[in-house]
Amino acid sequence: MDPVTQAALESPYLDTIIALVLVYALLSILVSILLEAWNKRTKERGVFLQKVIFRLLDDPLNHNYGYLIYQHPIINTMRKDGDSYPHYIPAEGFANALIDTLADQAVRIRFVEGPDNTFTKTFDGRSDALAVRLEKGVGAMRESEFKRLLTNFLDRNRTLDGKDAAGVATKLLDLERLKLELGRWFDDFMDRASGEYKNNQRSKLRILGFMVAILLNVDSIHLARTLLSDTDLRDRMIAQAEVIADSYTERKKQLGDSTLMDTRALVAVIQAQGEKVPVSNAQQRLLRLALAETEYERQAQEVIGRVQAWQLPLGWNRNEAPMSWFNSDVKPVPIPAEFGPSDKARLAYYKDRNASMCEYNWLRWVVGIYITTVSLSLGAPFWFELLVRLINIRRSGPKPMTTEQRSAK
Amino acid sequence: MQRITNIHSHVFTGTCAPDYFLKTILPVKLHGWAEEVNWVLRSPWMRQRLENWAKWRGPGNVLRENSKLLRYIRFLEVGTQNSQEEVFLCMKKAYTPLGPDVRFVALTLNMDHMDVRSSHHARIEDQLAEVERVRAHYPDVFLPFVCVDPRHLGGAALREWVREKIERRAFVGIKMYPAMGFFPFDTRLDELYAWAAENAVPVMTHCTRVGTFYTGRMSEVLTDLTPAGLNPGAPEMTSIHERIARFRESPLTWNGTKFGCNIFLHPENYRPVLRMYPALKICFAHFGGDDEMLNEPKKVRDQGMDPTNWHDLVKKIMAEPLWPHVYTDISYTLFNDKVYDQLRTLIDGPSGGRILYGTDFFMTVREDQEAVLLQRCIDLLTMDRFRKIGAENTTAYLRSKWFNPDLRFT
Repeated sequence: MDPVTQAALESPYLDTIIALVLVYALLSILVSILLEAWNKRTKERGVFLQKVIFRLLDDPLNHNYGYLIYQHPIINTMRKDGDSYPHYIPAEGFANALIDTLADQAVRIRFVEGPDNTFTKTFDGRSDALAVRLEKGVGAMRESEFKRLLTNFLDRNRTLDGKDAAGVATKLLDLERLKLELGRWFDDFMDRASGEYKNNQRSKLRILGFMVAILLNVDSIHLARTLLSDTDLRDRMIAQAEVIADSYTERKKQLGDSTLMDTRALVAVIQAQGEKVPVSNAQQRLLRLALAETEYERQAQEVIGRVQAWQLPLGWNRNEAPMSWFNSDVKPVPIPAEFGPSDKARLAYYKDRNASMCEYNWLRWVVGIYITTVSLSLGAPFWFELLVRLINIRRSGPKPMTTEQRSAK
Repeated sequence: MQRITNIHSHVFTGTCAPDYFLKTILPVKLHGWAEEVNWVLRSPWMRQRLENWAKWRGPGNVLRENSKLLRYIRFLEVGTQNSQEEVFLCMKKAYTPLGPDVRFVALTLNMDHMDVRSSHHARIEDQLAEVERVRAHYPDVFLPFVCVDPRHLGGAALREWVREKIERRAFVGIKMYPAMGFFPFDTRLDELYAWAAENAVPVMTHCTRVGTFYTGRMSEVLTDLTPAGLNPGAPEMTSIHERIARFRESPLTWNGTKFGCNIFLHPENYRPVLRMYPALKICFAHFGGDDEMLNEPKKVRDQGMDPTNWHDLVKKIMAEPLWPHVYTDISYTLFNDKVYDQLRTLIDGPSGGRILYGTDFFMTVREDQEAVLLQRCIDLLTMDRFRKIGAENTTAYLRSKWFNPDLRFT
């Protein structure tokens, strides 16, 4: 190993970065929990799917076929309850519902006066075969781009049937082939729509990331400075990071696909490290209000309990900025028994940060919160993957010194 | 025995309404936030939380004071049902005490021209396609009216579009909602009126100063300040043009469509039409509105631009022997207990045979539950009067060349 790399691996910066990444990874789980809970509550995925299907099948000159296929029993029965839309529609179900809806355009309800003084319901055109009704239904549409698309779908899926009386070849609509092609078209569209959904989720992640940063007062600059200057804390964090990175790698192997790492799996990963403190009553009340005694509430409690166990400079405290700026009676930071030069620098930094509400301190705090917001919006999988890589890099170098070794030196 | 019919109800769902529909229902102060309020209140979870909050009897609960919010939430509960069939069943349930024979006229609503802004709602053709299916499921009790707007189709094309639907009895009448931004004397409606008058097909038109309206700018819908209309020689056209000029001059009516759109709804606008087609069977919905009936306008009438009392105008038109086919209904107005003294007298009076029972479900959910409104109406009118307006009068109104209300549909 070249001396530059070795020096880099031995410096406190890598450990500080790893510790910071670990904090982001855990807090990102909290953001993901809040996002999942919000999506579940607002039935976001179903609403999004409904919106994109409405957009896909909207023909301003004829019908919004999206609206009509959502009335079709195949789709309608997929709803869990009256207030929700299906989260997922299989391509075959979509194709069948669309074909039926288009074919229904050739059917007209009519009431005719019967012999016994009643009007009897009849359906004009219902006796025709589905393929015939479909052809008639599409044929009856007003000229539009959507009709052109459908006509081409029909034309591409005809098979030679025979010859008519005049000897001209006749073609019959192959419904099975048509269904397959409509299904493929739908799947292609859904692939594009899922990218749109992810973008849509990203903006929500940013909002929730900001909420977590504010509620837990996670100032990234302060956190980094503390981790850099507090070797005890850093060492504790590195030990936890190694356990969690191993647990994550193991879990990923078990699942075989990182996309299956939902919040439940991620919470199981962090449970590998044993330390946890119970959340405060106020936190519990807040979580109950936001997550309403669901599985998500328990998951959030797990995450917060474990982050709190590390005794990081997070949360709202009268002795910590920004609360300390409004508190004239700020208690000093506890001084370690063996007061070294790094502790002296740390104390000076703490004094400077917590004592005065100057513009520079405000700006630094705002920037710190902003960095946390952006970091948390990147999502938990990103931070866990990064954590695993950094731990691997760290392990590839010489074994770092322990606190005792460092003190002896 | 003739059957009871609720002549005025709506079953369209939130999906049929543009995103800005709520703007027309919310208080003016919240108009700028209509889409946000809509987004929040469409979440059942959020509605449940707000409802719980509003029910909380603790001190200083601002929401409890404002029971409008609760009623508004209930209105959304109905309007955000899955399908029009579910909304219909919701209403039908309220009529269980009157037996299974009660019929309902479901008025479709064309909201496609409610603004120039784009919206991905289910348009009128989609709404009608779904309504036809509900008609197929409940042919004997579900009687839909097809909503027309001359900006969707006009002239002979509109007539043919409506004729095809009514001749096969999928729909039994025509609905108009001029507050969306057109005059009832629009030339594009001429052929339709001629056909409706010839076939005695009933027409229902919204005629009260409140309700849904065009949400864009007045200048987008009122381009011609002196429209000739289908009967340019009618003596009323002069006063109509004068009224338009007054509305145009006032920033209160020209800049705010909530009041401005009343220019389209004015009862006098129908006189040129009725002069052309005296046989036209038309119902002025809401009897001018409860506040007009009590002569206690909630707001100064159209900001002072039109001080006439619409209830009196409707009564006057009905009283004229020239037009024996002009009807009115008590929908929405019936929620106000104070109107019943007058209603009893009017039902017993000479025009009493042309007053119809209707509730304006589910708009009325903002005032009270349908079952409560029905029961109160029966109690305050007496059963005999209720049968007169709910069965005899509605049967006469619905009867047309294509619809015989005495026959059953199977």
